[in-house]
Amino acid sequence: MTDLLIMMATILGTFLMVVASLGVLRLPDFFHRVHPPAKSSTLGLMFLLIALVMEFPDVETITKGVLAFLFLAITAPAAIHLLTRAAYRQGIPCASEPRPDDYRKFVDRHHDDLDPDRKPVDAGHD
Amino acid sequence: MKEFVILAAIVALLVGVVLSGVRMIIGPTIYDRVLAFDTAGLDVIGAILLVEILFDTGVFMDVVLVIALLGFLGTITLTAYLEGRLGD
Repeated sequence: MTDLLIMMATILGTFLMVVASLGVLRLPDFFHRVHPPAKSSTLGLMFLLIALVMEFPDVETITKGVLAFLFLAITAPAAIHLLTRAAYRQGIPCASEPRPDDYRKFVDRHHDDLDPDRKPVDAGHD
Repeated sequence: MKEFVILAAIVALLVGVVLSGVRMIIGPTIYDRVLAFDTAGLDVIGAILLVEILFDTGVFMDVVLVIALLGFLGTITLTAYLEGRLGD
């Protein structure tokens, strides 16, 4: 019974993480590509950690598993959010124009040190 | 049965690392490369968790924590470097 649950959690978590990697490779531009590792990869890791804790239900593994769970759940999306913010302010182009673009207004209003006609740092989406 | 499923999952996660590695190589921007590195790090963490189940040991839990911490710090550091500052 426990083995069945472990196998189900393993398959589900692995599926989510591989799909996230595939999305990073296949999606059209950077602002699409940030979504898979921020959401799908984090959820997949949660399932793999659940599988591990079901396999070894002792105090040490549960403590470290919960610690890794909390740390990854907080830091993985936060780091990617910071990366996306830096990319937006650099002017990385979108495949399609985002509408409505509320953050652009906020950046223009509060950060007048940024050049409003700033150019992309590099070639855009492929 | 369980060993086979876990082994196949490890292989699938390594394929995920390869897919992220392709994005890391083709770019086209530095942000895509940092993002692909982050994704590959998460895949490696998942593979280590499954190796723990396969080898019936709990000793790699510290490795998972250290890789998670270093991956987060690496992404944050590169972001601060690219943006020129951190925070508003």
